[in-house]
Amino acid sequence: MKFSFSKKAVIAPLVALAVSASVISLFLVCMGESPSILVEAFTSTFFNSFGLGYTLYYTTPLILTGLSVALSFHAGLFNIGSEGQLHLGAIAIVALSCFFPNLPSFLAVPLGVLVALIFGGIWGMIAGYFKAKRGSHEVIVTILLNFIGIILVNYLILYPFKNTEVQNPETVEIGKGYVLPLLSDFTTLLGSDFFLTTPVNITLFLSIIAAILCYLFLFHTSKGYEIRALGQNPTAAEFNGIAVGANFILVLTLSGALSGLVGVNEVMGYHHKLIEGFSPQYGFTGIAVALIARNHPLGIILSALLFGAIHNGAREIEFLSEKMTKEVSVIMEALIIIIIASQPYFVRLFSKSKKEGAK
Amino acid sequence: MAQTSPPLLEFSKISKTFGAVAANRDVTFSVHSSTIHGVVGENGAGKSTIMKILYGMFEPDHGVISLKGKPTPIRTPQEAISLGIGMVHQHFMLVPTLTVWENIILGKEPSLWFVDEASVMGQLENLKKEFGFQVELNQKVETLSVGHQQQVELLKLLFRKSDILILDEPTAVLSPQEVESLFERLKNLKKAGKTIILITHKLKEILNHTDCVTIMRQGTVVETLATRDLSEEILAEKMIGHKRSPLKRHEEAHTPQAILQVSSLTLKKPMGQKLSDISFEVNAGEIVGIAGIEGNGQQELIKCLAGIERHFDGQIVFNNQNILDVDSYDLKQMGFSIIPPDRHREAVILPFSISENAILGHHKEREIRNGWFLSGSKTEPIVSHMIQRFDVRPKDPHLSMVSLSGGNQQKLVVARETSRPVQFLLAAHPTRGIDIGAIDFIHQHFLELKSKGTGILLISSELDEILKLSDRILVLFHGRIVAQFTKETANERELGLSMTGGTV
Repeated sequence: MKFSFSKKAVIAPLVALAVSASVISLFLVCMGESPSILVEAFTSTFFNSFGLGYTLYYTTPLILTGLSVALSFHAGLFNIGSEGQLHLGAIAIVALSCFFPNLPSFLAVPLGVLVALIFGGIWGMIAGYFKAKRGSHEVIVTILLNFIGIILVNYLILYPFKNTEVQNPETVEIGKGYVLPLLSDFTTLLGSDFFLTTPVNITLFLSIIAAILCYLFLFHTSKGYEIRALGQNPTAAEFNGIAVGANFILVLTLSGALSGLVGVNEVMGYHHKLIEGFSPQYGFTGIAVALIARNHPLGIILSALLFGAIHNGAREIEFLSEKMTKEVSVIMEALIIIIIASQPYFVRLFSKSKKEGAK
Repeated sequence: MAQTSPPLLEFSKISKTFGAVAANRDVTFSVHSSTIHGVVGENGAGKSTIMKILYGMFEPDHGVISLKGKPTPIRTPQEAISLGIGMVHQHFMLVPTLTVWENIILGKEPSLWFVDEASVMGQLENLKKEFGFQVELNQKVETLSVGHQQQVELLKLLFRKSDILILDEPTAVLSPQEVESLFERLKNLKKAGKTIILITHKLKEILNHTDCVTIMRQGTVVETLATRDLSEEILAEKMIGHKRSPLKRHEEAHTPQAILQVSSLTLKKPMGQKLSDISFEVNAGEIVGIAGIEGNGQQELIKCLAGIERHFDGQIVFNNQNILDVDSYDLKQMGFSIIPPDRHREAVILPFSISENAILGHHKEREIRNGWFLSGSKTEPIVSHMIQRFDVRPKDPHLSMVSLSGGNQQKLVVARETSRPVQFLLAAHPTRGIDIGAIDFIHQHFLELKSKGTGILLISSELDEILKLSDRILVLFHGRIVAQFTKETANERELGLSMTGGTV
């Protein structure tokens, strides 16, 4: 099946964005500030090197968590465990570096990516195993695994891997070989200062490649076909020789692995250590990212960009405005989700009024 | 029929469209008082729609319904009920946890506060006696057989003093004996002055039990005729719009070589009906029919054969191999095909395209892949061959499965399951809910497969289908095989008797 973008799929998020922007402007006016702040914030998230760099930095993990949610959604599973899975992936890299701090780059980078994949994957696989063998609902299991995972990782940050030389709740720095180049490193080579001082790094390309691979996997391989068949009609899939349990385990493992890659962006790409609370709920925002892209892997690149921009723009609003804080991004995201989710209702309303107009 | 008095009920020029589909176009016919009036047509002919319009569930776009010569708009089912129109739906509308009498008075409780049980019971006992109903009024509905539940539905209408009773496919779930007693009861009702409208696709019921019949096709009325002027052939011809070609039988090429052996199959943990000690064989080039009323273990047997239910004692052996030892995908590639009973739930994936549905169950095959990738260009000729050979319409393989009618969906399923070499075919309710043209096509195809040496296990609740195709017939009752017949010894009466547990 060729999953093509319909006009509706593009218009809906844009309408949602416009509506939520107007609501925020209304807030700004009520607070006695100028809504032009919003325009300024928007311009600076896309149209200067510093803003764009941060937008793309936030986009990277959202592509990965969005893919993680969407992939399991295609199999009819709701993976809420992305947040826990990405914590596991991140700590795995720190742990690897603690054991082998002096690995050369050509070993350290692929191994770092690999352990992030594996540990995120294991966290997903546990949910898949319980779903397949015991029939436990994946939503419950992944929520519980989030608690366990996040608390476990926080413990590891604060005790075994704690950097004792600083007061902050963070781990020791990873070895030099694990550090990924920033995009500004490339622009500097070219003699430009684009992206300078921004954290966007080559994990962005990794996540885009992941999206393309997910697309090819889901829509062009027989395994992907099995997974989609299972998601659309598990009974018919079973009657046609598709193993339900094994595919559930596989899908949640792959989902977990995708979430685990977020650790690469955070640890190897930017902070070079793990800080408690490093994820501003990338895992949960991933659910919204997938929803807006209607679970299409390539659409997720765009919807992650949208949410990355909102996230970055909110920081800008906090900076420009005296009263508004960056939590405005939560309101904006929530509005977008509500509007997209109630889209069928609006579509019906619209087509009805059009029909009556024709009469 | 008394032609002088105005008809009790008159439909004139009724049209109803849903979106672009015209479900009814200029439907015009009349029903006379104290008759049993049949409405026949294939699925999608518009017979349910016109009845739902009569019952106030749909509003017609155009046209008028007249009662006793007076145009009467009917906007809601409540209005219909107050006009004396009652309907027994194909799926019963009963509350399983309430008793029979509680269900009957539901929606027409005699008083707001306290129900005078004694007087209600008195009225109901009288109705029961008058029309020969056998249900126990104090029993809970969930404990009743389907036949008795239907009696409750009828009693409900009588209690509401309905004069026009609409019955939508009332015999679909009944055993032959229950069907007989239903029609016995309907005749009593007719004598008492009630008018009965019977919606069905079973021609025999029309011919044997109705006074008048309205034949519908593609949303329009073909003709309304007195039943005594009709024969089954004429009726079928008018219904489908062309002559039916008789089944071509092939030379018998019967080699007694067992393809499938089931021995002492017993379900360990029954989910519904238990299976106990089921043993039978299916030989190459043979059609074995399993007759029985639904819910007597068919579903469980199908699940065991499909390898979905694995917790059983005994063995199912296909070509000298225990099916539990083989991966169910591989089993399919070895020529073990299944047409599942519930098309939408088990056989197809509705949101997928026709072409994606056509490769389901064979999606790992080398011939449709390029390395890891499914190849559209390699799939295309295979799928279009299926579509051509089985005359699936519309013919565009990229359309969504939803855009096909039930008959065409089923043809695609049969095509998928039989267009590779098949040694054994489990065909469960293969013609349920599809039009006569598609039924004939599928039956003919089964006979062809049989002549090529495929062993077919046919599980169906349509006795006609079983009798028409099977070489041997087994009867399933309460999870056991209670009787066996050969093609020569089988007859409808004895089969029906053993289907309800009676001995022959």
